Parts: sequence; structure tokens; C-alpha cells
Amino acid sequence: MPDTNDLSPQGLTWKRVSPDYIKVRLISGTISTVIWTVGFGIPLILGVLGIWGDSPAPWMWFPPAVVLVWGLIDLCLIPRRVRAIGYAEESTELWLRKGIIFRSVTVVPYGRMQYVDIKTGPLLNAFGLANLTLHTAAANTDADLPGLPRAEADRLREELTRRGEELMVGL
Amino acid sequence: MSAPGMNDPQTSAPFDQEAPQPAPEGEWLRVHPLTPYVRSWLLIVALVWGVGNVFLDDVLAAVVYGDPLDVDFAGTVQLVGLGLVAAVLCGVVGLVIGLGVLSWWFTRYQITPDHVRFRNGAIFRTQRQARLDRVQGIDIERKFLPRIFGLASLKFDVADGGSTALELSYLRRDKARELRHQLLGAVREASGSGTVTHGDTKGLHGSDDAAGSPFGAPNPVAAAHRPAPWDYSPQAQEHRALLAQHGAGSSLTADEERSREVRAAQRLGLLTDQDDQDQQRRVFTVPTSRVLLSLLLSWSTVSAVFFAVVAVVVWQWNPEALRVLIPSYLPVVIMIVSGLYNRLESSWGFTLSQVQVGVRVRSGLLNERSSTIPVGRVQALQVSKPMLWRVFDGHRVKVITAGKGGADDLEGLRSLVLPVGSPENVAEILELVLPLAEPPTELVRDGLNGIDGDQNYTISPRRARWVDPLTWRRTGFAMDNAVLAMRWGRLNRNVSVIPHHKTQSLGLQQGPVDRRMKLASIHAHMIAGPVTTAIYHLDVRQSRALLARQTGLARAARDRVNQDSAHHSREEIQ
Repeated sequence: MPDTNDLSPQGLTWKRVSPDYIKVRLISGTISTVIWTVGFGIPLILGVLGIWGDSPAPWMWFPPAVVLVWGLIDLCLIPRRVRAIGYAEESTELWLRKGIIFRSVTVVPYGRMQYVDIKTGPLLNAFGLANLTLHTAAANTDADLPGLPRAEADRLREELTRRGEELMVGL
Repeated sequence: MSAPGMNDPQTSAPFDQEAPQPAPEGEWLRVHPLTPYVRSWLLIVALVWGVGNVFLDDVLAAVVYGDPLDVDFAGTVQLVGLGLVAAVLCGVVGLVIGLGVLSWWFTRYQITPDHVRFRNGAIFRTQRQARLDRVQGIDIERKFLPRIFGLASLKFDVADGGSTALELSYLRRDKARELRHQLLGAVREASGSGTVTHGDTKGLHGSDDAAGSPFGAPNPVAAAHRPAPWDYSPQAQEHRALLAQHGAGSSLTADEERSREVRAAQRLGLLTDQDDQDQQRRVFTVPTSRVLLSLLLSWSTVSAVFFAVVAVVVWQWNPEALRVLIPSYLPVVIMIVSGLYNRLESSWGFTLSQVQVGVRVRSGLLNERSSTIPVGRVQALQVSKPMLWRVFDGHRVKVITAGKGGADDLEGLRSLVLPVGSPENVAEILELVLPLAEPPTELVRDGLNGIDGDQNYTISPRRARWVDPLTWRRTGFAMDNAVLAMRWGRLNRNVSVIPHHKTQSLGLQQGPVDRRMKLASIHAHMIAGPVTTAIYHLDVRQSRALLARQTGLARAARDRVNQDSAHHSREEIQ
């Protein structure tokens, strides 16, 4: 993984999430873009069908067009966004990074992890992926690792739990 | 520990009288019969008002104009008949009383050796319970209305992660106090037996009960770090004596038994009776004059004065306009008054005392509240110096305490350790409240008064003035081996102190503007609370270095804590 992010220190070996996760995000992004476009396009559809006026008014094109363009830009950014998600397992901490415009790097000490969640949905399941979330006692710890291969997610969970128990610290 | 013979096993005897079968199924006991009425006093007042309102005009006329009081039932009576009116009135009164009795009947509590349970509701039942070995403190709370009736409620601080405290309300005052003593005994038993199971393993692994669960019991490191201040307590002395006896090689089993009790009792130092001042060392009480001054020099007062001036000006200009102005003022006035009142409640007679596990704060004008803050559970601290308070050098100090209820309880007493105080008070608090060997006095002083970078503080780079024009010379951080300090604000000055071994995780963030300017913000993720633990617009290289260094220091601090607790608990067992 290229060391593009100048927020993280040198010398960490970053791993990426599964490339299949790009497909998952693209599919779900397309679906939601279509739904939003249709939603904002209701006046236009009514206009075309002749229920609202005889022919669609010019302004009716505007909302769905904006939503569609926004959605397409979002879709274009997905591959980069997914490639920007990375994690590095160090001896006592887990490093996480994400974002291309709003970047962040988070360090979670293993001893601070309270529990590790693995979640998966139908779409993720189809690609054999899972989302992993780390929880510490702080609610604002934003430590998500979406789109890990199932086996890697399980391995990571076991590993994190093991190290967490080893290094557990009271509050 | 004020309980006579708290260390005497016999203390638990009254507990047995309370609940003859304390074993698996304890007896369900009832609270004071007045409870529902005191709880729903607002409803009752509204009801009385609703009924009374019918006659209010007559009564008012009688009082104001001196008319003969002539309450006119006749209209109503003629309409529906006297009997029906009387019946409806009786019915309403009966219903209120009946509902109260019903509610009282279904409100019960139970005390078993392991749990306190509280249950209420006839149709929709709710039950809450607290594990006794997780109880951190039991406070007696005396609110205004219950106080008139001689009632009090018992509030349990529970350290099992839930943010809601269990409350037993209401009991007769003396009963509440008695029950509290009995519960102390029970809690001691419960946590005593809890320590036995831990006792076998913790010598090996160094995980005291603090490590046993996420929101674990108090961190023993606090006690380990600060031996001297606890000296005054008889328990500590006894404890030391016992330890000495161990050294002298006396019978291990009996002593171990007692030492465990003493240790549990020590942990319950926070349970010291409110009225027993000898057991607590009072550190300071905020003088009333300063409380009033702080309220006077607050934005609430300033805005009140502003609105009053506007009203006077408008009145001079056109008295008729007041008709519009006054009603529109109402919400604002209510807001200001309630804000001021809350501030007054939380700072009136504010007393901070030292107890074994930490500090105990108490305040209140009408509703007296108290709360115990175990030092080992303090996560972060923030000292603020609001602009207006600089006139008299006033400071406010807030802390985040684990297991004290999260963000939803911010306004309460639970997070405030100094509503308004002098720099001396702040210094005392730093020494008492933070789970550190050395109070970070210098960092806090520089954090409040310093400007520009110095040997301690690193500030935002000069280019940050474009995004942070007024305060960039103050925005900065400092760190030593024990804490990370952050400071910000020029008119309202703030500094927050975060012990390394309390940080959960760390984050570095950068938005598009930050990226162009090579800036970044650093966030220390803490348990939710009223302390700001993020600092913005730092140089990106410096913040990256800070992240790496802070990670290392936090790691070292955690290791130290683990070692200490291992050492500490091993010492106690041997």
C-alpha cells in the first residue's frame, strides 16, 4: 500500500481491505443513487405522464439531475475511497486509516478494545466479506474496517481478542 | 466506616432483620407510602389547580377587591345536581389516592446478598438491579419536597457500564441512613467474596478486578500512587497494621480474611457517612460571596441586563410597545432564570472533601446533592477560566469519571469538581483528583496563562492564523511522561489534562483546508464526558510526531499500571 497519507508515521505495513469491497460499494451506491434520483424525479415523472401539467416544466429536470450528478461523482470516488482504507497491526496497537478528502488515522491499543463486532449483510455475504468494528470505552473511537474477506475478519477478531486479553487495562 | 463496628462481622445482622430470607429470594420491601405523591407532586398541583381554577376568579376578587367571598357553586350544581358534583369531586380525589396507593403497592425493593433490585409499575413493570459487588458508592439524596416530608432517597453508583444509577426512593430519612449502613455491610460482603476468587489468579497475571471487566472496579493504581493522603483513616491504619502483622508472620488465614474485609472496606471509603465529618477531610467550601459573584459575572446576567436595558429604552420610546415586548421576553427570562438557578444549585455551599477513594463533592441550596468521585476512575480534567471571571480570577474544573453516567448527566454534580474557585483551589484539586503521582501544576498554569510556544507548549504554526486568527497563539499542547495537556481559547481560557493511561484511542484528522495548509487536528478519544479532548490546526508534522509519541507514552503508562496493580495486589495477598 503506498504511503500516500502524511498523517501516519513511516514504517508501518499497511494492509488494504478486499478489492471486492469496491464492487459491493458500487452496487449499493448505484442502488441508492437510483432510488434517490427516482425520488427526486417524481415531479418529472408526473409531468412526463401528463398528470402534472401537460408536459414537464423545465424546473422538474433540475432536482433529479443534481442528485444523479452527485451520485455519479460519489460512485467515481468509491474505488479511491476504498483503496484508502487501511489497517496495520503493530505489536500493541492497531492503526487504521481512511478517507481521501477528509482523512483520518486512528490508533487503538489492543488493551483498550472492549469487544469486536463482525457484521455482514446479503450483499457483503455474496462477496464473502464482512465488516469489522472495534469498540473501546470511548464512544467517539471511530474504528471500522469494512469489507474484509470473511476469513481475514475472523482471524483479525481472534487475534484482536487474544491480544486484547493479554494487554487489557482497567479504566 | 462511620458505621459503628463497620469492620465487625456483626454489622450485617440488622441486614438480616430487614430481609429475613436474604438468601436467593429476598423479601420484597415497600418504600414510604407518600412516595407516589411526592414523586408526582406536579400532577397533583396541576389537578388542584384545575379544580381550584373554577373558583379562582371568585377567590381573587375576594382577596383583591375585598368583595365578600361568594363561591358560586350554584351554577354547576343547578346544572348537574349537587350530588353529582360531590360525587365527581370525591371520585377524583379517590382516584388520585387510589392510583397513589396502587403505585405504592407495586413499588418494591429487594436486597439479596448479591443484588439490590427496584421494581415499580402495575401494568408496565420495570425492574432495575445493581450488583452489590459493583456498587461504587451509595449516596443519600435529599431533594426539596421529600425533605419537607422527612424523606430521602438512596442513590447507587454502579460500575457496570450502565449509565443509569439505581435509585431507591423514597424512604424515611433515618431508615435511609440505616439501610445505607446495612447495605455497606452487604456490599462489603459481596465485594469481599468477589476478591477471593480474584485473589488466586491476580498474583499471577496482575489483573485486579479493574481488568476483569471493561468498566471495572476502581483502579488500584490510584491508591498505589498516592499513599500519603489516605493516612488519616482508621481503616488505612488498620490495613497497614495488618500488613505489618503479615510481615511479622502471624496467622495468615485469619488475617487474610480480615485484610480482605479491610480492603473491601477501603474501597468503600466513599461510602463514608455524610454527616460524619471526622472521616472526611474537608478541603474547601466555596464561599457564598464568590458563588454570587460568579453568577453576577456570567453571560446569563449580562444578557438579563441587556434585555432589561432594551425594555427600559423601548418603554421610554413608546410604552405601548411593551405590550408586545413583555410576552416575547417570557421564554428568554425563563431560560435565564432557570440557567442561573441551576448554576446556583450546583455551586451553592459547594464543598469538596477528601475521602479514601477520592473526593466527595456536595452542594445545593434547596436540593442537596452529593457525589463521590473515585480518583482511580477520573479520565480527564478540564480547567476553564471564563472571560468575565478573570475579574476575580475564577476557575471552573470539570472531570470525566468512568461509570458516572455519560454525556446525559453533564449538568449534574457528577462532573463538576469546582464550580468557581481560586487558583489555590485548582492546585488542590489537581493534587487530589487526578490519578497521578505528580500533579501537573505547571502544565495547567502555563495552559491557562501562557501564550506562544514555550518549553512546554507547542502551538499552531503561524500559517494557521488564516483559519484560527484570534487564538492560534494559544492553541497548543504539551506532554510529559504522565499526561497530555491541551490548551485553547484566548478570552475564555481552557486547558484539559489527560493522563496517558486513561486515553482510549487516538486519532489524527485532516480536512481539505487543513491539507492545503499542512495542518491537522488531534483527538484523544475518551469516555464520554464534559471535557474537550481535541486540538485543532496543529502542524501536520508535529501532530504526526505527537501521535507517535503519545502512542508510545500511553503504552508505557498502561504497562506501568498493569505492573503496579500486579505488584499492588501481590503485596496485599502476601
